[in-house]
Amino acid sequence: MGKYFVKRVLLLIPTILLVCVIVFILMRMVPMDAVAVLQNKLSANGNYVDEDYVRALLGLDVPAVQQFFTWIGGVLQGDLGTSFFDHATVNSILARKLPVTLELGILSLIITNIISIPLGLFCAARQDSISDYTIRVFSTVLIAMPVFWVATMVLIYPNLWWGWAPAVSYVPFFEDPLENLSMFLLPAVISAIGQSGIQMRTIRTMTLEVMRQDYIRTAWAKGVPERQVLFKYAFRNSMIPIITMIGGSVAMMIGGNVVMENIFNIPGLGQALVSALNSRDYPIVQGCVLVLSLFVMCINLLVDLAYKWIDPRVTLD
Amino acid sequence: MSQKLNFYEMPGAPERRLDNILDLDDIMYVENLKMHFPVTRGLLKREVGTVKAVDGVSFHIKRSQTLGIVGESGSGKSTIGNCLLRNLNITSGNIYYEGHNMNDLNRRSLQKMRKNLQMITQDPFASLDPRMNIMDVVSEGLKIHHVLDNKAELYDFVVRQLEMVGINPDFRFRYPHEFSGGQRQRISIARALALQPNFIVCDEVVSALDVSIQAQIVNLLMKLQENMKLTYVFIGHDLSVVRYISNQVAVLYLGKVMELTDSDELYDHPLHPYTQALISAAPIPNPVVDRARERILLEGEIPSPINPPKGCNFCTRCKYADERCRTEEPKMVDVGGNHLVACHRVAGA
Amino acid sequence: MEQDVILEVKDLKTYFYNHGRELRAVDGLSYQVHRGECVAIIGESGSGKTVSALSILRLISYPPGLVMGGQVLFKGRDLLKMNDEEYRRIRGKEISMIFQEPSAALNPVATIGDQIVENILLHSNVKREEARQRAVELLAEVGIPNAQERVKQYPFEFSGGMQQRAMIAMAMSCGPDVLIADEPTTALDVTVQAQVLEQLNRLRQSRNMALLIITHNLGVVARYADSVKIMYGGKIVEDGSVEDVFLRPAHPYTLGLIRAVPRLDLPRTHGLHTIEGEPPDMSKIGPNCCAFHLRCAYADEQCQNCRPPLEQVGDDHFCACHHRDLLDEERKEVLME
Repeated sequence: MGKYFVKRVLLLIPTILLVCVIVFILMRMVPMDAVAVLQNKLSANGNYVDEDYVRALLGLDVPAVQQFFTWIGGVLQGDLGTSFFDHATVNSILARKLPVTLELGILSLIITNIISIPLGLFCAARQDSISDYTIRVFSTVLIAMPVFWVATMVLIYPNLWWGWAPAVSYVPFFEDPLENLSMFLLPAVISAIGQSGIQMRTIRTMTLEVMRQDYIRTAWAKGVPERQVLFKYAFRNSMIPIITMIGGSVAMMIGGNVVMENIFNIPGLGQALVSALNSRDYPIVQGCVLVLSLFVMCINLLVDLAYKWIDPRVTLD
Repeated sequence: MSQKLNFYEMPGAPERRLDNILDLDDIMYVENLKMHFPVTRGLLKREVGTVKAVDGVSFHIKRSQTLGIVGESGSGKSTIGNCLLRNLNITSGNIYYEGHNMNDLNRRSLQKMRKNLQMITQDPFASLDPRMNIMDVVSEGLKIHHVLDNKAELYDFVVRQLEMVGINPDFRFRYPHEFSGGQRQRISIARALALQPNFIVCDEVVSALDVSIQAQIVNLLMKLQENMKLTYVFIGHDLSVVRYISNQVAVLYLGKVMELTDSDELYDHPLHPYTQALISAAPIPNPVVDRARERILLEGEIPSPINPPKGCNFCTRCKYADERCRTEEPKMVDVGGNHLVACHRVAGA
Repeated sequence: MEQDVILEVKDLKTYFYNHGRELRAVDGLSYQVHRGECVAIIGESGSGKTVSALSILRLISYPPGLVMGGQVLFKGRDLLKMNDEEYRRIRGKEISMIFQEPSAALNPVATIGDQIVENILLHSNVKREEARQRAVELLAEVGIPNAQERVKQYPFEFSGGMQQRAMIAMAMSCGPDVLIADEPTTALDVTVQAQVLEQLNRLRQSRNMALLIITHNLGVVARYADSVKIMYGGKIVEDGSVEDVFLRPAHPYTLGLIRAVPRLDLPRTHGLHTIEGEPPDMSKIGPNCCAFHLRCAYADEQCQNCRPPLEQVGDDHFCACHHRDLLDEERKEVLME
């Protein structure tokens, strides 16, 4: 187990390097570099800058290969560079924004599971009953509604009817947990809705599949009460595909929450990434993508370790 | 050898014959057949061991007769069947079919020869494509080998073929799932016989069937053998059925033949302790006879073929095993009357 | 004798409903099991033998299956009329069951020990430690070597034979009065099959437990069974002591089954005796005929129009056939063998 963990962590290194290379190349291939975008913006007001001077200032005058190695050299020392326009280091920006994004992601993950696991199990236990049908129809509706549309509606109508608007100023959790949660809860619930619809249906299907297995019949024959059959036998055995799905949805939520962050004006990584992309702030984009992909890879590793914990038949090597 | 063998007319068929060492009655001769599978681990497929599924097996199969191979799971009995048809690339040894060493055949002549060698397996579900109706199933091989391309002839042929195995030809446009297990097994027999083979490997063909259906299929196989001069290798785990259909029976344990003799002789005079235990364990549906029999209960279970015991493969479960059995592998000896046995305890061994 | 009856099935009917079609899987099944007796129920696929056992344990789920009628009297109480909670306390304690595929019947993600401990804790007030100790003893008793260590292993670390032994240990853990074994050895190798059967029989004798073996294999039960019930088309067609049924079969189906098995102890004959045709499709056979008439050499108009009742043909020997007298010739042939 320990050996496997070390091996997997070591395998992360080449993967991360590959991500670095791809992000770097793709960013440079986008038409108009950072300086051109800046020039464009300024020219709207009749101003201009000396492009060569700014390029030299930002370190964009040397060949791309050299830029890459300078950046990678920094990354290896834990320095992700400095933003072109923000006068802040990427490290400090990430330190500010990453917790916000993670909080939103984890919150919506928790809500997703609070909704989907009990409902999925309930529907499996009461297969083809009226409640099963109702919940499934409802979940289809939820899946079909685009998240950004729901978010926009939630912003518009309560305001129109009751003059209520969600909090928009970010307060760190440890300063005022209630204020903080009141800001996060709504976007988290909205982004959880669609996901929990999908997840609930998968849990239902997987559990039903497991309920048909012989060992469930053995459990009944042993006189195991229904609730235990459902949780100890059916749910535990259907966990493997469910864990895989949850792992995938974590990655998706981090990415998908970019939209939420923008709509609800949450100062997270997503927002920072989008604005950096627009202004071609290479160090921020590279830093953000690097951190997000590292995060996704860690989730994958955790999912694989969870397999071993759930299913003794899985061998890790 | 009166039968005309189109095999010799094949292009690329090697000249080498083995008439001098071969009994001409033998359709197949297997010499020291070994089939080892590597066990690999990790990303780089590091080899950490070998499964000796078949480990030095030799036998003759007489034309138009049946060789039974009986063994428990892990004995390598199905692997042998697949080796004989060259579905697997054997590790070492020689298989002579109609006097030709199959190792020497090139790909094309092997392909042609495959027409003569067919296999029927346990699970007709798996071997029949669910989207093909049984007309297609039976005629598939004919189309592939361009034996019959004419539609009307093909049609007549399939009808005859289905009648032969006892399936109403009116059902020819039905799909495999519409038939019962026994009927599906009949259909897979019809398919295997479509190319007029002379050698058929039957791998656990009746194991999944009900007793009454099992008897029907066994009778059908025996009738077809008589009419078409077929040679069978009948692989199974049920000694009663294998002995019933076979002229000779090979008892297999952990990839090695323990005993090989005529089927009646095997029951009347079993020499190997494993054979004796198998016979004792095979139930007899007569309470008086069955309760009066001596019961030999084997201890433990068949060891893993990755780590077979030293010496005799059976020594871990044999109540007679001594020091010699644990160190020295017994050789196969003929104790007379075509009775081969590999055991140190048997006189002459 | 009467008070010795521990389990009595009376006119049990279990039907399945699929796409509006009614399938009478078990249709009027009655038999008795005495304390400590080994009863074999023999039938081919579709005979309703497994469904009848699952009905006793109330493991038939609707849809598609429904127990339509009858009684299952266990120690005089009707199991089918109990409420779920009452019956849950009997399942796994006084009546337990083992299944055909031990690898599928054991929970793959729990250790063997935990699964046995669970069964003990469900039905008795012992401490977990005590239950654990009991599990080790049980595993040792069913012949699993090194039980102290193996109790911590998972089912996939056991071979098929060992898994079935573990199933037996689990089923035995609360000292049941009736153990139902549904094809307990079909998935096992021949030599292991013999070990497991011997084990089951030893346990039955040492604990005076009734053993109900359900199988398609006539040979398996010839050695151990006291009483044999032959099922065909959801009904018992012959019921009697093992000697009566095997040596003096009264029903043409029983006779056919016995003759269809190749005999290891007899010289090889040319051609096995067969029962022609296929097992019946129970959704197509009406209630008012002999289910076997389509495959029976003796069948006539009476068999198509009248369901033969189970009639006494000897001491504790019953048979449901209109023409059992016509069988004498064939029966003699069997006795000659």
